[in-house]
Amino acid sequence: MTTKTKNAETTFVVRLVAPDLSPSTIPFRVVSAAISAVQDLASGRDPLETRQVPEEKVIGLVNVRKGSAIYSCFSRAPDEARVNLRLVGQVLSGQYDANRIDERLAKAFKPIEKLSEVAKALGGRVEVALANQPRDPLFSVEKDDFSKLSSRLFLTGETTVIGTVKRAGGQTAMKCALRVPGRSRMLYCSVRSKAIAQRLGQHLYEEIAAQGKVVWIHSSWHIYKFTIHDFSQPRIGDAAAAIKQLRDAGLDAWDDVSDLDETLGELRR
Amino acid sequence: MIVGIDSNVVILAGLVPKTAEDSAEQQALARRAKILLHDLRNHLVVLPMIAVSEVLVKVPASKHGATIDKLKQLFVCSDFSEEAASIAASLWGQHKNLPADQKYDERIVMLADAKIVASAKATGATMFYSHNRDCRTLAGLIMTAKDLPSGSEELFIDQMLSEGLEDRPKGTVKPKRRRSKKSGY
Repeated sequence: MTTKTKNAETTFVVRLVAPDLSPSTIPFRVVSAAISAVQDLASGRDPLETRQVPEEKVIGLVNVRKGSAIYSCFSRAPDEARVNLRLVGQVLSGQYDANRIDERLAKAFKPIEKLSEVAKALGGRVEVALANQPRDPLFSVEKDDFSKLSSRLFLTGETTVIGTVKRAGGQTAMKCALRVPGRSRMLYCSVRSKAIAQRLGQHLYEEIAAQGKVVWIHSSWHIYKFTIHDFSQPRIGDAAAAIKQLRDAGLDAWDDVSDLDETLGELRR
Repeated sequence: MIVGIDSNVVILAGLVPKTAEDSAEQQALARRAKILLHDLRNHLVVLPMIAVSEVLVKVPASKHGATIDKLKQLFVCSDFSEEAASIAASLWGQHKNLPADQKYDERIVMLADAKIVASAKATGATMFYSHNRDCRTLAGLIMTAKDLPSGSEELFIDQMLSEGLEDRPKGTVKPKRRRSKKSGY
């Protein structure tokens, strides 16, 4: 079979590897998911923040030959693609200092999770190699790689996040987007129930205190995932009324304290 | 901006001194604390749950639930999370590098303050109010730390604090002094 004339130089290859794998048996959605995920990794795109890969960083397929599960990809930003893909390799192999995993690198985790799902669907692995070193992959993702990464880098807990509701709702899953001070990208949250999502929708563009389950990148305490279990909007409002209500609830007991300075000091001993 | 407050802000704001002896000083502090709460009335304000336990110290046990419930309607009473634990531990280390005259006399006191400040920080606070100098010094290591305000620019602040916000005229900020016009030729 003759090779098609190349009109673009290959930057890297994506190889789907599995026992007895034949390209004709791979569902297209699996191929699409794998190449989309690698495109995100190569371009540095955050799939939650950016709808599409910028035009100047788009990946294209070249030399797709019948009978192979090797997809040669051309990048319009080849240098950046190679740097980003090398970084992914270092993170997966544990060579990258976990303390340096920051918000910028965190956006690589969702595409890696997708590639793990593709590897699981294939019963094999996804390899990405530079065009000039096709036998020496930059990285290889197997079905357990994302969970291994998670256990190394993530910590689960519960916390309160204060932010402004920008979006709320969803079709198949309830979601909410919060603008959180100090965070350059919006925090895209899962929402525990439709009822809470509906309540959130009634508070669009308002500041809330959301309580829920969190997954942190523990080296930087960057929030990777957050599921809203509930939220509130406590406000002082009329300070005189608030103080009266607090006194009525029990705070007036402090009036009887004979040496206030001494007592306040004792609180911390 | 997200603001955190210490327990003494709430305790002082709710105070109506009984003895004439302490009355003047405590009334002044109560006024300053009330001014702060008035200034923050439309913000989400963090009062960490550890600080809530301090507010409850003199409240009868039978009224703890009601007081906590009211506090949670007014403030974000965040728990001591894993992130807060990490921040508190870091504050402990940073405290060692403070000049001797700024260090706590007792380490156990510092740890309590560290947990409160850390809880506020972990909830997103970038400013922290406390009437305790040592606590402000500690908080100042990781965010802006301030004492209770000394006054207010609002003209009718004392009436607002005693009677509430209803039926107040709209323009209540003190007018700036105008320079007199020079006479011209």
